[in-house]
Amino acid sequence: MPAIGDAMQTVLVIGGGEITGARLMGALAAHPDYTGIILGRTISRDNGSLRNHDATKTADIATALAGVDMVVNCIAGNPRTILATTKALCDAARRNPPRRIVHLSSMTVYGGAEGLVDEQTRPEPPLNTYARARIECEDLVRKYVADGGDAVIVRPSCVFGPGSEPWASRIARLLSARRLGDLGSLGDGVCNLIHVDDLVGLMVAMLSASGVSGETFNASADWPRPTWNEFLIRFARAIGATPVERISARRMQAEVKLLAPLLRGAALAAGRVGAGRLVPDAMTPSFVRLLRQNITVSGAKLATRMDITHTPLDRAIDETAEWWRSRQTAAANEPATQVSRGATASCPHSAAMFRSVSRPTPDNEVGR
Amino acid sequence: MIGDARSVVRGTTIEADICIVGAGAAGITVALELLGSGMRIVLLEAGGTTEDPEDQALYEGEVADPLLHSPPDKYRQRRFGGSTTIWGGRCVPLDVVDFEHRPWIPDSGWPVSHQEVAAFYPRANAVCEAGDCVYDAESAVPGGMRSVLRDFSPVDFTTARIERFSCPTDFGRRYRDRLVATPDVRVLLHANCTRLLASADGARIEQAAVETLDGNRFNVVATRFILATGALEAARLLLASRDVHAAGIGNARGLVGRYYMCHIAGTIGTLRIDRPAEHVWQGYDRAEDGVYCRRRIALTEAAQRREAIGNAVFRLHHPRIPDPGHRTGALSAIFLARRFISYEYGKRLVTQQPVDARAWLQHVANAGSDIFGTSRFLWHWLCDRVLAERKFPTVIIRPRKNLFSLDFNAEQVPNWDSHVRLTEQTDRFGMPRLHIDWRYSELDVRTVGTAFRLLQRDLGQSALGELTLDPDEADIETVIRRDGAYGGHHIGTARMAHEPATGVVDEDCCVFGVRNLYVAGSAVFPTSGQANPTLTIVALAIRLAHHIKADASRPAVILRRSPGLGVTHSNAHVPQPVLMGEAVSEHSA
Repeated sequence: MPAIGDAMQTVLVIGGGEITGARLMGALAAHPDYTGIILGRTISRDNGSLRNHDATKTADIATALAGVDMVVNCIAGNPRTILATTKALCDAARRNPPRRIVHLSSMTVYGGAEGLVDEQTRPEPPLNTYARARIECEDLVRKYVADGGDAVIVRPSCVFGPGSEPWASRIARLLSARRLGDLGSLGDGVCNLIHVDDLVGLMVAMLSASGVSGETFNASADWPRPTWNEFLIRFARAIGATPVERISARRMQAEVKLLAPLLRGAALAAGRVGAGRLVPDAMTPSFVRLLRQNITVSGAKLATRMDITHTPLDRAIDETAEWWRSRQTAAANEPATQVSRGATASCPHSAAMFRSVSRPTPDNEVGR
Repeated sequence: MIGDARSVVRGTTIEADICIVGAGAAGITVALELLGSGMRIVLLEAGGTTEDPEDQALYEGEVADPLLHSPPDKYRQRRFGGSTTIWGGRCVPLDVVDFEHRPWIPDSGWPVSHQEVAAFYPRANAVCEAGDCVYDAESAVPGGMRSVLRDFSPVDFTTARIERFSCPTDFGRRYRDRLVATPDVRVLLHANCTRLLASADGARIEQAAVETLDGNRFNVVATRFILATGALEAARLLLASRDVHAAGIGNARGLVGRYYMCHIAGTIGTLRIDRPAEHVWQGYDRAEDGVYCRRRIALTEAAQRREAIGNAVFRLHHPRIPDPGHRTGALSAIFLARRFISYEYGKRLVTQQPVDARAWLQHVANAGSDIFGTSRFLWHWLCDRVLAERKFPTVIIRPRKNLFSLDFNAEQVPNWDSHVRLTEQTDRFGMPRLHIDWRYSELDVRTVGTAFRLLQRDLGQSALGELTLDPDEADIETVIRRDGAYGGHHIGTARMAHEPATGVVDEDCCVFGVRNLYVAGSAVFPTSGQANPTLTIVALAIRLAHHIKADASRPAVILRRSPGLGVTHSNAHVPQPVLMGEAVSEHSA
């Protein structure tokens, strides 16, 4: 394992197009011990060292692993891609093992579990395709460890913060359109969040942590969890989507059962002509179910093993709202078609990379 | 878990730590606040999930003067959610002065301070879905709320205090899922608590007798009982439980049912504003959280002290609807549609004198000549009230001529003579029905009259307009008698006090002399204040739950089951407790 004072370690980041990966690249660039390179499906690094590598192909990953000390797998996207990438990574790593793989999973592996869930909690139905893919990926990583590899699994809750597409941008768009707001009993679920920078800090720490190989850690902010209603109202106020709309159960049902299928179809059709981003977000059953799910992701294990400081919720909301407002201002000053949904003004890596990975599909949008 | 009392095995005794009687604002709030405490809670609801005439008929009773007080089965709902299924949603905290002993108001003063109750208002606001606990017009909305009347700087009133509005939240519908999801709480619908059975020494309640309309009977044994049935039914149940306490539980001093208060409220006078229409704002502002807020014209504490009167507030109101002289199409449309409006909301549209044909025609003409105004109002009502989840709170219609009336809501002071008692008539369970003898006092008349006069003076001195009584309002008492007791605000029948000589419950809402029986709700208010009671009911329910959690941390009585017996199918005098959820067949909702 690398230790302080060792030579610079090279970290391959798979899925660097997502905000977490992009922020991780930034953190690695600023770190004295690490240098990061990213691997996306068809994306290249600025210096051109890794052009046109397909992360779902073992051979391409094997090539990418050459000279790499560690790997962070934060691939997102559709379930098939996630699974194929993780499988390719494990297979390639068996031949040329890096010192460590940090595998970013998701709290979605708990499915419909309720109450306080820790790393030992078994998944409970309903488990959608995305959740099953995430579980399968974890199994692949555990098998890799059983075969002698070194890997640690991190299960973040909803990744919030500037640049987060599913839990900042999408939510802000829905709040601004008054399609989300105060949801009444439909928003009584527990809102488990982690700030993207806290997660990035954790992943960096995991690269050098000792005694964690083969282990799984939940990663969720340790402050008192708000309900989704509380979070949505606070966030709506912060971004100026006021007065906050009270959304009826009837309307949410219409969103899920009538509008969502139409929007998904429209997004597919529009995607073919490169206009997918113009289609409004669909609210899928899994997303709506999460908002009422009484699940509290325990971060106790992580807290006892690592020294992690979580960004306070108010600060997280304020800085995310500020980012959102500045992004809106920028969008207003540019032709609409040039503004990528996932692109972030404050995150230089992500603007180019977001288009490199599959846009979250309705099934995987929980993306937790 | 939600079940049906009709499916509980007859003769069963159900054991719980807490038995809450009544699933309205107070009962549901106590249950919610006790979730996760580890206590097993049985929540008994007499009705089902919808209004049922048979259930509602159990509320029927007598009223001494039907012109002054509504029938007892109105403004109350015997169903899951209680009267929150029909409430208007107005949330207002009590004022500091409401808690004080005021020498000019006999029997005034709470045994707890404003501060002690106010600590629970923020949480109560959240439970009522009334947004931030901010009742100041400058802070409730960014930039401050619009002025009621520009340049109005009254001496004896303040327009800085506001009311906020709940959705209005139907507690049953809103919190059903939470109660269903937890194994700690067992809600039993159609469970009519017909008696509380005290121990031989009367010092504690041992069980609640439960009956259903289809003839089922069972008992609930609990460590603590909480009566959360509303002020009328709480008095009825206490008075009707006479097995050990001959005069009724908590009634050794004859105080149960006494000091019955509502608010003195109605519509009064005509206010002519001599300023441009845009200088007047009678409507609502919306806070960032989406909650509707409205300024009130509140009598200051200094004026109350100086004039030795109770608390009161006014609101700008549209002209009285039954009088077609307002010439406003939308108001006439409401009048013409009054048969389709529920009793509770249509009461003020009913005139004591029959409406003659000429007035009818005038209303029709108003609606027809103001077709655009009428259509605009109906569209607004459809979108913002009927279809909206957070509903526009009340009818706000801009009068054509800057002529307004005033809505007033005044404190009714405690009055021994104003009371409820049991009659010889009984309901289907053999429970005596209630006789309501609501009375106002000279001080109540003086409160409204003085407040009105002070407002006249303040308006006159500011030269903004003129406030006068209407021709049919010979004096203030006529106005009070015309509108009668404010419907649905049933207060004070089991008042809170420092000692049994002056009240039914102590500072913790525990019935004096009965150590495990509590009353939750407006029955315990020693004074009514000017505020609508629901927010304070909820705040006190939260406070009670906190008290019970603290109290439960002390050693409690442990009830034992008979070995090998889960259920008794007998009329045995001493019940055999059954653990919650065992040995009963019921539908899980």
